[in-house]
Amino acid sequence: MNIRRVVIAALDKSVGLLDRPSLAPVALSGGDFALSELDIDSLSTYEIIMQLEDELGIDLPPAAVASTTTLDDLVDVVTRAVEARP
Amino acid sequence: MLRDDAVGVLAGAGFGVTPHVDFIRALADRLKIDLSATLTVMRHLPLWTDGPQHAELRREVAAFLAEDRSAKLARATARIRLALFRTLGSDASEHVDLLRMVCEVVDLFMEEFTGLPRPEGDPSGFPSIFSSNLGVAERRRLEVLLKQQFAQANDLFPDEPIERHALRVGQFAMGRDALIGTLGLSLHHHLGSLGEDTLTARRMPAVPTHTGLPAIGRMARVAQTVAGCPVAAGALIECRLDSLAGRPAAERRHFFGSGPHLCLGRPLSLALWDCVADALAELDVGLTTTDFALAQSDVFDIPSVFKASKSSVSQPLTGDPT
Repeated sequence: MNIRRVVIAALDKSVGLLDRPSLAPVALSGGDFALSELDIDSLSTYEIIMQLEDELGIDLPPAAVASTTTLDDLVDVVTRAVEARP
Repeated sequence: MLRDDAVGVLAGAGFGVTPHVDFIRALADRLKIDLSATLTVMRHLPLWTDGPQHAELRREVAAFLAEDRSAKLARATARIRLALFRTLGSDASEHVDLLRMVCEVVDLFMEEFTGLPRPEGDPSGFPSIFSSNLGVAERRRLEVLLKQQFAQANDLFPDEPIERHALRVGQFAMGRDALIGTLGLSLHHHLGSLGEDTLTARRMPAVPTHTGLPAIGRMARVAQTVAGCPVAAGALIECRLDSLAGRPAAERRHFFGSGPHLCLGRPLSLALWDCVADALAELDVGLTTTDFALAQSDVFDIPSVFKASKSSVSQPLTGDPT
């Protein structure tokens, strides 16, 4: 499973990542960017969490997501949650 | 905010409760998920309300906790003594799971005072309604658990309104998390202070010495200065109750919070401590903690592991309170 792709899809569904001309090419080409550029508020964070949890069958504590600052950070956190899945 | 500053914030009128319930309601609306049981419980816990609604809710909860208190306490005491003596008074095992014992003691207590049976399953797996760090999957699991408790309340008390069921479920959830953490931590420190001595050597303090609720959040109603620091209106702060840990009896009141939100379960908690301290003081058993860890939680300090090795028992014990 391509976790990065799932994360990008969740960010796109919640905050329209792929509609942003400056960020979409970076995300799709494997690059990294600061999540602060997406203006994610607290409720959007939970939307992203729900999509990732439902898609991947994981538990994702909000604090773990809030601790991430870049796309790569978030992919790492989600990857660890997938690996810790019982 | 530490010690006196924390107590001052909790006791004063300049700070109100954090808007956690509003956030959960917004979350349910935004995600289109059912958190109705969670919200019903939250709205029936005084700790999340302010103003006239808070005062009314406190009166209801205080009356609820006072109903048949002596009889409930007597039943709880007898059952808790039996549980403690069964776990510690037998020489069948050299190792004891004190977390399991603490959970059982608290559950017996909460069962008597709320009229609800304890939830089935591993207690360490229950999501806490007080946590701000539950993902959506955990919030859904919590919702299922609370709905089960509402169904049990309805089966056991079919003539009661849902508000009354919410009081029962809410008090169970709150009391359980707070007491397991506080009793677990206090017992852990008591055992540490005993060293090689047996439980009969010194009675466990009859008041909690270490809190399972390390901090209480508050939101500033107006711009103000606390402990020399400017605090903007709407700013969130943390009042650290754990900074009172181990301080003398003078801090008993503050340990349960302070001001309008002073813990309504305080007299019951002290009664539970008396009961546990009395029973433990009769056990000629040495306990040495072999494994202790706190769960990773953003609200309660609840042990995730609490195990001890046990010395032999010098006399047969039954736990019979007579």
